[in-house]
Amino acid sequence: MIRLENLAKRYGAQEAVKGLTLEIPSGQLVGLLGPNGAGKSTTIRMLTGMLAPTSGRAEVEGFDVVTQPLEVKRVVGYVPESGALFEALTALEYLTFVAALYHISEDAARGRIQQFARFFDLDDETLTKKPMSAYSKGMRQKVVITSALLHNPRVVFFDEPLNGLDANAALSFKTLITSLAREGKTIVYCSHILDVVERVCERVIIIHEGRLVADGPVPALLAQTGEPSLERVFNQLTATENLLARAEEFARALSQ
Amino acid sequence: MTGARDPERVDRAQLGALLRTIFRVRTRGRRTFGRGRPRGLIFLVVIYAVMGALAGAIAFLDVDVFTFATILGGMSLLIAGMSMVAESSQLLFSAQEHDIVGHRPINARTLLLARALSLLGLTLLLTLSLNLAPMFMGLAAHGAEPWLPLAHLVSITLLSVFAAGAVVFVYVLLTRLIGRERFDAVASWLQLGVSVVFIFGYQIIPRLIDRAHGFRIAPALPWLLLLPPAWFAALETLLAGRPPAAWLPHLLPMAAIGIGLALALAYAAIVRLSGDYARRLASLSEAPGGKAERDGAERASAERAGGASAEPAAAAAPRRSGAGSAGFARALRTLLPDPVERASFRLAAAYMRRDRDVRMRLYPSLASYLVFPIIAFVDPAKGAFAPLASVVMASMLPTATLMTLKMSPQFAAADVFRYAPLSGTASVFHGVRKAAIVFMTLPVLVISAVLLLLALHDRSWLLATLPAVILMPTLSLADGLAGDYLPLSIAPVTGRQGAVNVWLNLMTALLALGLTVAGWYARRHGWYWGLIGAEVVLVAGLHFALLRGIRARKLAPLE
Repeated sequence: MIRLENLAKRYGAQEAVKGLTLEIPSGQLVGLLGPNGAGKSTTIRMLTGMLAPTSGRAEVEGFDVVTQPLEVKRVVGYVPESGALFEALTALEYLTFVAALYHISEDAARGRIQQFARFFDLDDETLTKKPMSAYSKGMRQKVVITSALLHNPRVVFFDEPLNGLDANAALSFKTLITSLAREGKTIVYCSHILDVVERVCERVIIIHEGRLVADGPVPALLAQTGEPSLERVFNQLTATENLLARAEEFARALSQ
Repeated sequence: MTGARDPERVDRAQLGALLRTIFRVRTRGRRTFGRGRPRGLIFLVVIYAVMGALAGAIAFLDVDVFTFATILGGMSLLIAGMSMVAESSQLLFSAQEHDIVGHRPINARTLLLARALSLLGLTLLLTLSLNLAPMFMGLAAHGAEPWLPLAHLVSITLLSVFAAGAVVFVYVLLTRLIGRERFDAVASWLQLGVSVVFIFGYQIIPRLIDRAHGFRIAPALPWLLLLPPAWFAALETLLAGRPPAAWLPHLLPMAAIGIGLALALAYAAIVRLSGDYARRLASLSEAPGGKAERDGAERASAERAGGASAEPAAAAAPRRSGAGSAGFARALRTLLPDPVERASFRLAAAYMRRDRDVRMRLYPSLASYLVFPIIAFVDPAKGAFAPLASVVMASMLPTATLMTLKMSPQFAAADVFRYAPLSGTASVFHGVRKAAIVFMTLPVLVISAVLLLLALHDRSWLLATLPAVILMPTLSLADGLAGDYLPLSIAPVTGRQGAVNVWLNLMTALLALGLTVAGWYARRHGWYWGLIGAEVVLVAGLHFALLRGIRARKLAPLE
């Protein structure tokens, strides 16, 4: 369960998140959408205990993110958009290192790492010998996803997890998160690939300029807005006016 | 984009844009909102200005312009050289920057010139800071003309051009001679070698000074022709030093060599070797994953063709790599039972061994910690103060290493420490600190001790330095109190050492110096072992108090 009450974040005069209030029950697979700079990543970082809110409250699995950040961090997993890794390490070294941060024994960690390696088709040689600086983007992303799930978190935040994944890996991943949600994990899935969100998520939350502008199952949002797709719903709620006309005008100007 | 552009000509508009952007990126601080200020760089400039003012005081010691300029030139070359060693690899061959500009229509000559000029610009900033006060203090030197400040400015600028040209020339020449796979390894060793040359070369200068006739370096010394600071000092003397006629046959060739080489190296690097630079940049695009992906795909294809399942390979326990053998791993588990501390130790050790950015910041500086023992070994007559100098330098090594390990281009990856359930950074800090001691401080101490034991017959210095050595592990805790220490967590922006770290270095050096002097004094007056006993008790108490203080710090969330 994730609960937000007027959660806000301000950087000086700039309000990144403006009083978000919502609830996500356990086991729900929720898409968190918004244009660039809407406040999605800031919201997620507050919910993972990384970033201190300016005001408001948030609870993850009953733990307050401000007063009980350690408890929150023990139960959440996070795949950041940056996908940054310590590239001088091999994947095994990095995953063992992350496991140690969660006090998972090396033997237990290795067992789990093997399972993920099988799932993501990472061969032994790649896992143990090659530094991650030699990995492709997709391979690094697989390692980042694995590192977020090693400690069997109850809540997982994915921020653009399909970055760099090929079609097969992306399909596997979509199946994975659906299965995780069925097992009772709460999944918050942040992505700009709306057709994936539309197919996979049972509920969609749209943030724009730090505020909640839509919240509900996709069919309900389509009915409410009268739009045929989630993309058009998103466009209606967050885009500036006459977007298509402006795009055509811009393309004409470029070719002159 | 239309219009044929000469692929060999430097595009001035692009050059200007590149220079402005490179300078901003290298010096700007990082903030989530708003512009950062280059506080670290400003602080370095101030520190160098103060150092220069102190060094410039030699102008009042009965020196002539040539001696004055040679000494200041030597200091400037040392600083310029070390700065370029730290910056050049990242500036010239950054894969991340290549991703941004590599697909733009910029010819290699323009790009190389932009990067070389930005390297020169940053170096000039530091050397001119160092020489700001001496430019005017030099007017007190014998024979100084009123326009000496201008002449000094010219000579320091040319010295910096020479240094930048030499570094760029060597790097780009290396791209012609060495293949892509070996380039990084060879470049790493080259940078280490260049640092050693700069540091030891600087030590030659005090040995040239003839104290019998005032404080003078004689221009007639034949091997001054091999000393770059002397070349530019000769130019400065010719311009504004009123040299005696007898000096001219020595000064003129030196000045000619300096000007000639500075211009020739710059020309060769930018004009003649830009094609090789372009080829090296192109190879940067071949890297991540290309080979790894092909290998993976080939293996998977072979397994499918052979009917073998991928499962057995994946099911086999992944082989250990990284920190070493099973024995070492067991020893590590015994010595570092805290898993977070152990993991951080391994992370730091891996980065000190493998990461090019960390190696380039760390290893060249090792030369400065070993210079005094090596000089004592080579010239025992002049090594009397080597034990004192060695222990003072070694006391700063843990702090310097910890600061270096704080910086990485992969700083975003350190977010893992913030979303992992860590109540504080104590375990992480201790793991990294112990790696710094094991892999940097201890080897330096051992090598220094061996060299000094072999060089100096009087072994009483061993006991004199013992009080400082006893304090060293406790001194290494200082960084843990100065804020949340997380390794590889800040971007390596130029000049980013921070006031705190510079003060920490100064304090540790002063403490080590004071304790060594106290040890020497105590030995002479018969209360040495009383001093040691008292120190052990005090240091033990201080050590545990610091440990408690570090453990009590909570990891603050980002603001």
